[in-house]
Amino acid sequence: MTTSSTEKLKHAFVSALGVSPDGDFDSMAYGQTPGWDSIAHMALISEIETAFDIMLATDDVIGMSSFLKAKEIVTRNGVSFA
Amino acid sequence: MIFSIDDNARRNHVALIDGDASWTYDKLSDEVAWRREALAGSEKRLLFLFCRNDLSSVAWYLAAVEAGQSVALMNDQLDAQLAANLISLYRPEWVLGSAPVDSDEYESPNAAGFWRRQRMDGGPIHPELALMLSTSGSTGSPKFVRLKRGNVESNADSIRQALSISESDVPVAHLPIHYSYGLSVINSHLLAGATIVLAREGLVSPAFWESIRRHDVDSFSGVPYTYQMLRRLGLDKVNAPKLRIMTQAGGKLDTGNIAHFHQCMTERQGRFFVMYGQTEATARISILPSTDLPRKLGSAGRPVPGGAIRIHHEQEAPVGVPDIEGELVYTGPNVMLGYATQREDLTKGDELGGCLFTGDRARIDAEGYVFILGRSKRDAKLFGLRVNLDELEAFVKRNGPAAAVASSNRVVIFCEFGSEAAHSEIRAALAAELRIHHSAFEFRRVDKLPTKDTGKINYEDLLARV
Repeated sequence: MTTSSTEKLKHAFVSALGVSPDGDFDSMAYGQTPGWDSIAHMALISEIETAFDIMLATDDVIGMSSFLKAKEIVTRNGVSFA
Repeated sequence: MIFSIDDNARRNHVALIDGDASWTYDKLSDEVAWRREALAGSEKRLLFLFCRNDLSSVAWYLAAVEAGQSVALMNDQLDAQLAANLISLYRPEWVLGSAPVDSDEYESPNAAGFWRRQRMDGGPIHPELALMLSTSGSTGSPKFVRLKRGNVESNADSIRQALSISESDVPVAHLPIHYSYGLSVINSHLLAGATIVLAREGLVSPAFWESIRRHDVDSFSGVPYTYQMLRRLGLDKVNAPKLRIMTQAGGKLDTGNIAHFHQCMTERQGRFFVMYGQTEATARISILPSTDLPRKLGSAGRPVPGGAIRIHHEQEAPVGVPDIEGELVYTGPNVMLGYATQREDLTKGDELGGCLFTGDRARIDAEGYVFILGRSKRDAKLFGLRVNLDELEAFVKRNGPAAAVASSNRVVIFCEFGSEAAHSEIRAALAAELRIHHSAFEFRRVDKLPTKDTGKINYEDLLARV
């Protein structure tokens, strides 16, 4: 299941931010990765919510400042990456 | 000085806050004064100011106007190639705040930090020209609005009056200052002697809300998308208890969200203002007083003090009969001098005489409230940014026959060519070119684009399909 959740998350990033599927996801961050502005951020939130069928709280929406943070937040919302 | 920033009565009051730094009005006046000296000269010159929402950009902008020069406020995130194109079109004598100018036409930055053109070959500038604003901040379009100092001052004062801005207000200035709405927030609040908190982070950044709490920000502005985002975040969840004044412009917000935020502000004994305007009118044309909600839900309000509105009809219409649709015409002291698309245009004076055909279809009700119905010009508003549909169409047409129409918050592009995969590739390229999120564009395949007898695209037919 490890790859499946990670792949889903990567797909959400590719689709919302327009980043390359072969990109260095672990280094992606809001305001730094080209294309990741506030508008793309809201698209990303909606992609992630749909992909994992979860509803993110405001603090999570605002706190999702990097790919790694996203992974952490999605995990906290009951999704397993292990 | 402009906006009475050097008024003695407010000298110890804080004018601008940027992170840990803050400037009183006294300090701001000093900062503007030395920059004004650096820009002084008998020949009228053009400054390209690549700006961000920080202390220095505000000071340079005010100083250039104070010095009687012309300043064009530019997006500092503008692509370097697009910026270079604009520089070669307008030949500004000074360039400030951009990445190094890739040209041997400019001397390296002097002590004040700006690039100086070697050959002063720009040509004359009309004495009244004070400010230039782009009609689209991110696409690098050469089309600018030409404004005089009186446009800027009168509109700031109209807004100050209509919103009852006082010196105790603390607005957050997060909309870009090269954007007419963002600039108007700064201008009107400086004029009122208020304390402005500059912000460069977006709404989805924790730092943005920390700054709002730390400085007791009570006034907020946004385009429709800002409010849709804020609705998703939840005003009660972002922990900004002091916010009690909200203004909205930059396109039409759905009535559901207007009612929602009006209710939120009412509960806080605050106010929510729906506004309408254009860069061509410096910024603001009309404002709906908060007290007229929910009675006038969907209206863009009444003209700002000093301005007047009427409807222009294709055919002769009965005088004084309300509620007839037509093009909205605005007259007022904030109407631009005209457009510019190249340096030679800067010699021009006032071409409009204070009367602006807005290109927006509207009706005015019996009580004088305007309702904006849509664009009659080929423009779309996407995430608060204006995009010209003909330019967009030209981009897509490189691949084959296509026609674009705008719906409320997106553009639908009808193509006689291409698979879904091909469309998604063009969509990504278009998004990158215009710097607008790709979700704003929808592609549809058609066998044949509908045409009129004249052979021209039948846009009405296409509009009916979206």
